Amino acid sequence: MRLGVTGLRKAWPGLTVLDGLELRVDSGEVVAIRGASGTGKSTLLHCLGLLDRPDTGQITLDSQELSSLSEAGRTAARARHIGFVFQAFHLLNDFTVRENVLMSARTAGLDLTEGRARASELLGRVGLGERDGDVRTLSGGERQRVALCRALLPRPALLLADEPTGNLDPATAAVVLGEIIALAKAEGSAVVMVTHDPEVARRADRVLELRAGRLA
Amino acid sequence: MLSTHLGIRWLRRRRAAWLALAAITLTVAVPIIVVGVMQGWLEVTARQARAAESDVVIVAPGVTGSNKLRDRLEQIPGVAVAAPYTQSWAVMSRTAGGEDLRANIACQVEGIDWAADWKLGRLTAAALHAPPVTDLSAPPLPADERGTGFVTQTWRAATALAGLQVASALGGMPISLPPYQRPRPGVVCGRELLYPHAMLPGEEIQIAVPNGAGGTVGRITAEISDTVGIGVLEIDRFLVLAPLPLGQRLGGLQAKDDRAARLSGWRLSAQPGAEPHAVARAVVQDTGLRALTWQDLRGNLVKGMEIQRNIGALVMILIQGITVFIVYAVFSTMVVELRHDIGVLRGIGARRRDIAGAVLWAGAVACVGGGILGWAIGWGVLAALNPFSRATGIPLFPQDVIYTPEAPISYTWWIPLLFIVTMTVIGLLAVLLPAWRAARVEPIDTLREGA
Repeated sequence: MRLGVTGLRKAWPGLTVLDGLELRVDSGEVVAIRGASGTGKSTLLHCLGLLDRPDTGQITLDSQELSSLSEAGRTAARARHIGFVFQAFHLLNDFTVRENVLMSARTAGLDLTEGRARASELLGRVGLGERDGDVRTLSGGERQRVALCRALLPRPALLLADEPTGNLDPATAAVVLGEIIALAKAEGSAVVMVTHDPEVARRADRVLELRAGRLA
Repeated sequence: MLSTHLGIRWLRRRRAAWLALAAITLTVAVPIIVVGVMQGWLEVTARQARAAESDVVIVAPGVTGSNKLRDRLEQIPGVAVAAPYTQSWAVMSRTAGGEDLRANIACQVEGIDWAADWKLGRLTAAALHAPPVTDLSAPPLPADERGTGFVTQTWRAATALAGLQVASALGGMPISLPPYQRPRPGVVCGRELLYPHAMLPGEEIQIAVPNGAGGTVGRITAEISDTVGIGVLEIDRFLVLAPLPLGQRLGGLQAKDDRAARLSGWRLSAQPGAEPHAVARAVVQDTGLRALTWQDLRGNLVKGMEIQRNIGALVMILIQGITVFIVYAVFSTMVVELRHDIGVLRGIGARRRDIAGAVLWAGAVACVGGGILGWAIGWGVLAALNPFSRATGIPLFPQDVIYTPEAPISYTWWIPLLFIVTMTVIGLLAVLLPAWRAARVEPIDTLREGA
């Protein structure tokens, strides 16, 4: 088991979003999480990604307890063990395609020579081996591929994807989704995807429904 | 390093950063120009004051002027040349012209040994023969109108007459010659002494040293033979140089009965590299005479200019402070613009200190880069000032007040360094708050906003 979540609880004043949530994801496994708007899918993803602190509960990644880490420890864990793919891509416009991918090597403190080789390898695998330059000139699908490469460069134990195909047309979405799943499995990352897309859910290893703060 | 990588890229890609760079460049260049000229004045004035007073002055009224003492002084370690002098405050007046032209003019008469003073370095070619007018557009005086030290026009005429008399006697051809006039002794006047009174070389003057009881200690009639421009107004407006025996006569220091002629003191030049205070101490130890350095005598003048320069530098640093607001505004705007990117970076594992460091790096690069650019522009403008003035004919300073046609300029290294360092420190202080704000950006907030 790569990711283990037990008794996760997160509440806002007057609203309990996550209520004793349990989750286990194995290496290379792709779990899709569905749920109506406002059920706390993004909150769950933020807690798993150590961007937000749960009120109670434990998150373990490769047997390491993460939820009680300090701010600096959470930042370091995000850099080394967790990759993010967002619906809005969230690329850095001041940097080129390769620099965007390499940025996760810089934040993780990896060797930049190795990082460059790995960035080339990943970009080649998603068909962007020859592309560089301004990220603003890329199509939506290409941007999401670059974001995927950035997320996977440090070989994260956990890949979190928040509506990764939400901004893409169906054909591109299918290709990008295939690449996310293929690459994550090849890297042995545990994948948690939040989605409304039935196609994404269909291709996941498991589909869980978030309802009343729990996964079912 | 992540901070450096981010900081430099952010700076390069933002137009507002160029505004900060331009502001920093200007607020470094302008102080370098202003203080460079002030320092130039200071250095020139100090050099002139040092030349006017010589490195060390033995102030010992009544001291002997013997060659034995000169030899002894010149053997003291650090002493290069010793020159005797007398000094008396006197009243100068024209002998010709109406009452309205016979104004009594206060002056300080120095009796000097011309050859010794020349070796001392006081009487340089640049200082002598200066026209007693400050009109820069006036052509230089023709050679026959220029002075020649203590050699007067009447002496030259008398010498020529004597030569003709000898030639006519030897040739057996008597010729009719004008009556012989006894040549007058020559004195060299500071040009600012002559200028206000419209006096010129060749004029006859009387100089008298009052004795304080209605009479005089000494009185001479002389001819203005030349002018001297030390370059320090308070020296040039009073200085009259006279041959040593004339100075001794004016001051009542001439040989009398069994008493040898005396002096007001000796001027000494220090050997290259010798520190004037050390030389003065050695002189006191060796001779027991009172020895003062040029700083002791003209220190207030130089110190006054130093204070002016320091105030100027301080004002310039305060002006640099205004740039703080520009730098602060530019970097605050930059952080607001970059809020999304900072959130993303924090999300993928950039530490708070990486983000703060990036903003500080950008600030430091802008300050140091702008500073170096300002340095180059500042020194470039300083180098172009005088050629520009010459090429356009536009004087840099009012000619009636300052008779130096060109701006004295200093390229002292500490001036640009001072303003670059202060600009960098001030600039980094201005960037501290934006850097802190950047570090406080929460990734979850910006990622939610962008979703």
